[in-house]
Amino acid sequence: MVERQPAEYENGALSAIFVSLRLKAELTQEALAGLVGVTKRSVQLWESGAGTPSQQYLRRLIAVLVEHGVFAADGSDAAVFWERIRQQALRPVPPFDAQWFAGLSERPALAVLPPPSASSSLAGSSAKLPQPPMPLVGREIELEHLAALMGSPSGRLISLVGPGGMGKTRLALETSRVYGDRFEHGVVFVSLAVLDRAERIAYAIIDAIGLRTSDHDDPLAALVAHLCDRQLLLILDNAEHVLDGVDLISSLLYHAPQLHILLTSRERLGLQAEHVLELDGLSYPSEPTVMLPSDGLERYLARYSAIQLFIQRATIVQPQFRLSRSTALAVVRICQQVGGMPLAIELAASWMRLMQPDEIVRRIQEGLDVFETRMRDLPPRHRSLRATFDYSWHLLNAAEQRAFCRFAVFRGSCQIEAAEAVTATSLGQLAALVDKSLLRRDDAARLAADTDLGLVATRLSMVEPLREYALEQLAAIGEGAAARRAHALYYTMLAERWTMPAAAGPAVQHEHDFDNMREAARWLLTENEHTIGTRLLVAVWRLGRLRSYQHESLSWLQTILAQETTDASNEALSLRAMALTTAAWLASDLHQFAQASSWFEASQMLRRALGQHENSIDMLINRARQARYQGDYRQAIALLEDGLTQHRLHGTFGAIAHGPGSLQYELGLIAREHGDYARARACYAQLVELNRRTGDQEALAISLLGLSDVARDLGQAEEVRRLCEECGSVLRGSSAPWAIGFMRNNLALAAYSEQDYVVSAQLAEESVALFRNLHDDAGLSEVLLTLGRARAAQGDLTAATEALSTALRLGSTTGPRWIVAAALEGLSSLVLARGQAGLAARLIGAANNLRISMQAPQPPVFKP
Amino acid sequence: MPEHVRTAACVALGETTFAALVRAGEQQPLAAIIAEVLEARNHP
Repeated sequence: MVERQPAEYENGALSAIFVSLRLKAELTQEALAGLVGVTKRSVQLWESGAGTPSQQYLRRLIAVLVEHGVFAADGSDAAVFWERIRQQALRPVPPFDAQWFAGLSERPALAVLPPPSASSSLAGSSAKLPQPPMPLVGREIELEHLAALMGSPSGRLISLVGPGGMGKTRLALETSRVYGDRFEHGVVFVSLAVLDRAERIAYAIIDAIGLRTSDHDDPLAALVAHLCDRQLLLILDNAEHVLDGVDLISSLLYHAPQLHILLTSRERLGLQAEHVLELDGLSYPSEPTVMLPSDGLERYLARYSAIQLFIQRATIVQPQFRLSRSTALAVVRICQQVGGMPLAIELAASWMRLMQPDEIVRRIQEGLDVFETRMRDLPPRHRSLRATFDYSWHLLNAAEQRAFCRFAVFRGSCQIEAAEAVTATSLGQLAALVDKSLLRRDDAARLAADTDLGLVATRLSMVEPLREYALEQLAAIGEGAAARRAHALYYTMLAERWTMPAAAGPAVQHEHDFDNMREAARWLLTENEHTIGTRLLVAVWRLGRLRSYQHESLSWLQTILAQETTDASNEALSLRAMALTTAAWLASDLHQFAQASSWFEASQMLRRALGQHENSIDMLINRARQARYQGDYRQAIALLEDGLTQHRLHGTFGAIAHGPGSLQYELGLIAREHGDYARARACYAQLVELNRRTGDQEALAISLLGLSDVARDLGQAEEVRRLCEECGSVLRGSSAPWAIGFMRNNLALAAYSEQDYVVSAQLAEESVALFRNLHDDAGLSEVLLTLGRARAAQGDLTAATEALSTALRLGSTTGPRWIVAAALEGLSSLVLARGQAGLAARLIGAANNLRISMQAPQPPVFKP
Repeated sequence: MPEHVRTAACVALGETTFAALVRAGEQQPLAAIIAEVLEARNHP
């Protein structure tokens, strides 16, 4: 490699360099001005150090110098000279473009250009706007909002604010495309991305408009003179790093009364006149994929713009791509993983040329590396999410960086109080992160705040890909363990506070805090922090039960219980007794009654040794559940009545006072299946009353569901719908797939009792898909019965036989026993329809016999 | 089972026969009839 000699214009005063270059070219000031296309006065200003050429004239100047043999043809001189100008110019000048230089020799020789006229010309028509390569997906609501704002006199300054990659620029361009003709003098798009100083904003606007000014002109005055009587939309793109220049914006708005400014930024300007439109991710289904409808999934997903964007982008790299059920679920997961962030979706979809959606899901779980592309028509900061986030990271001060990193240990969203405790930072720092779009106020909280659940406190969250990035930074600054420990301690204490029903608050609030509690438990177990881990699991298991996490909670507790412990303090033993009781309840929920019984007994022994109150009611409930599963209702009722007697004597409901696991709940369930509808209703009504009083929303929902079961069995369709509606309203915002599955089942049977078999089958299918995904065989067998009945009523005997046979198989292996009787009854109609009257009669006989032996009559709704 | 289907079956088999068959089903071990149904499903 040849070592380059430093050119003379690398050092020394720029003014002297201009003079020297002109003299080497043997040109007068006037001749040079003519060749470059500027006035002689401009050349004089350059040579006196009062100004520098803009990008346009700098290019022409270099071309002149090359043509006159002053600059080498290889571009080395030109590159150094360009860089000198770039450093000193007030107007923004992009880096030297070697490709442009290479193309110089192919152009015709320079002609003498007429000098520009002193008056400015109006450029800035919409035709000059960047043209996005693809149509915009989604953002209809935002566009409408923008249209309304721009139409109002107070909407002259609008800031589109959001994190990098949220599609702010794209929305601004779409706004100008759709509404640009409202502005008589058009739209001007000004990219501020390359600016490094706020003072350069004015020049960037001047250049974008195409105003011809000289460097000695006051840029603001020039802009005001041009804009004062024009009705124009100015789009200032990527303003976050030059926010010091807000005075210019205020002045322009003041002096140009018909000027509208639409600004995109990761941070708001903080001006009084500013309307801020916070841009969030595109819409996507937020429910767990297990809760997505099985029928018409494609139609259901068509309403979500994040999904549509993925399809649009995937089709580019894989034209034959179509959404099937299996790919659809993976695409939903991708959109959930990235919080609907358009850039992340585009980058993820670009991998469709190599991978299937489920593989992309897995790659995303492994980190940010998947979010990269080689697309050359994207700006460099948008070619990877990491580059996008690096840009924001470098705009933070040290304290903000620390708070940002530590926040990443949260899952989903958290309350402000939690964020303060875990990030060990002030409210002010958190507010700064919100202003910079790195944290956001949570949607669910906003939703709840608009409803009658107005008690929900403000929550903060971080877009998922940003969180991944923050976790990388957290590891780099070495605070990961400290932040996670603070997080785990905070949520352990919160979970313990929530064991008091009155302190629990609305179900929607539990949702994200439960995710955080699971995250904390997982970390505590990995770190062998078993004492705190046990405290957390003992306190939180009831929330997990509603969300069908019993398997997970139980496996964690089993890990803890399997550990040898030398700590024989009362405190440690007492905690172990609680862990045993919790594990027993979880096992009982999972129908592992013998295991549950053994853990209850072990817990009892410990309590006895510690001199604590012995609780035998838990054990009675477990035994009653077992008896019910085996179809022995008399025994089950006797056990529960024994429990009630003990309760009257000792004044306790047992460890679990509300919801499933309470005496009243189990008694209601068994009484209903036993055909004692009045008693069942009384039990649930009592629980509803109790839970309304204590404010335990989740227990209230389950009690309402119990009441709707009674109405369902009695064929009271209207009542079923009313109760399910109330139950759904209580559970709003929280994912309780188990409860939702049974609600759908009840609604399906309500429709069945009204002979609306299409709706009935559809609801039953959804419910079946849900329980299949939950791997809940007991729930599945019950809803398969509904599906079988609905399909039979529609005349689809094959589907009906399949559903009822599966229900029979599950009911006969796992229970509960009544499923067997109901499945046999359903199948008897089907075999009869096939002309097998003899078999039909024997099936009825077997079902009759079973029902009589169990004392579980057929519910009125199914009676012929 | 809907009443009209039951009636049709009774007519087809003769009421006494149907009732007799129901009684036979009541006597049959449950496991055997479940096995019969599931077997029929596997080999329709």
